[in-house]
Amino acid sequence: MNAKKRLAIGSVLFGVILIAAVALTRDRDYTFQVSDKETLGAITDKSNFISEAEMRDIVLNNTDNYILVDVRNPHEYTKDHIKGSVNMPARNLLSEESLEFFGNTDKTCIIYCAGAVNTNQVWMTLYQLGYKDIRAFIPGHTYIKEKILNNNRDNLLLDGEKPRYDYAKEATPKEGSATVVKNEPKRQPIVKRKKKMVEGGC
Amino acid sequence: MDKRYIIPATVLVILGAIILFLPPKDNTKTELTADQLYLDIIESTRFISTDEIADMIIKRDPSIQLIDVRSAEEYAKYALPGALNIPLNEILDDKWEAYLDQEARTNVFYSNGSLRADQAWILCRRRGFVNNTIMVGGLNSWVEDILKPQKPADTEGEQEWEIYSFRVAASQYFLGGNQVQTSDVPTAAPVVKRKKKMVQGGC
Repeated sequence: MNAKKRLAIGSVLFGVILIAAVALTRDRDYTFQVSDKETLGAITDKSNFISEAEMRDIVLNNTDNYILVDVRNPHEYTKDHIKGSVNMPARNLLSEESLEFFGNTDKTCIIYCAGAVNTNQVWMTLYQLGYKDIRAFIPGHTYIKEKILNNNRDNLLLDGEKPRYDYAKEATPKEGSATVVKNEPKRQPIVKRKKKMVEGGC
Repeated sequence: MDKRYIIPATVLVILGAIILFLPPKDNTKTELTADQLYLDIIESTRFISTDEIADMIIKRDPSIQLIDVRSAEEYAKYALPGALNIPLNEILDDKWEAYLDQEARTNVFYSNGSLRADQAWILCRRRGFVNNTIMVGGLNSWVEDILKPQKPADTEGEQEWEIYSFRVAASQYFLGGNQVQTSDVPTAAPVVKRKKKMVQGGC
């Protein structure tokens, strides 16, 4: 009788633990809510992004309708951040805490990282998950700090999409400055190029 | 029947029934979920430096395919040798899928900076595509690093000087090559030929 009881208790416990384990390890649903086509449209939609003029107004005049969300890592944030901003590190973006923050704010979030690429990564991830009231300031923290707050007039090497050069012009060799030595290798590729083209055509 | 086995047997039958009704794992869907995608996004392995790209172009490495994600107008004005033009707004179109979702070559996306190329990459990765990478810094860095290399400071280490001497050689290669294009034939002509070659390779 005693053995039977133990067996029964054991089986029940086994079942309970198994069910609990399944329930607890159930992941949060990370399925995308927005289709890829819609996301592609959103990338080119300017209303999802804060312009430099808008950002200037928000940072300098402290507009109350927005909340600045700095997604750089906590170390960088502690060292230096924009007054009034909150820190939601990009590396914990999909954590419970961070997603709850983005889901529950009544103000429009303006996210920015150190630079353009990182800012876009965070924004695109949140957008595709269906968080709509979030806008991004693509130029990032360095731009706010240097251009808006410090009024730095230097040309910052920000990784924007604006072409900094006339590529076709840069790709043509400069006349005059070329030395005799430089002229020699210039001719060699002519032969090479022609050969390549023939190969390509075959 | 031995009564001792009734309880464990019932438990196992119930568990079996639960497992039976769990949602099936869908293996046919290739689209990633946000957590899978984000893991790849925060990895920086997809970024390739301009030096590596220059080296591969010079060596005519057949395993890479440059993909220009800028608009057709920008592409017509200037493009890297051998680049294929897939504008960002067409990146999800079916006609490009064979180029973007393949395992034969490494695609290298580039734009003026890194941003547009990265957006294109994220959209492709979400669809489960592999073998796509990004030229870090885009054409702006291409001009600064390869076409107009800056001499490192005298205090810099040997490695910096090695990179510099490679860049000087590379700039001579590319500036010489482009002179042929601008003087003899319109820039677009060799590119069109390249495209034909690509199609043949894909078959």
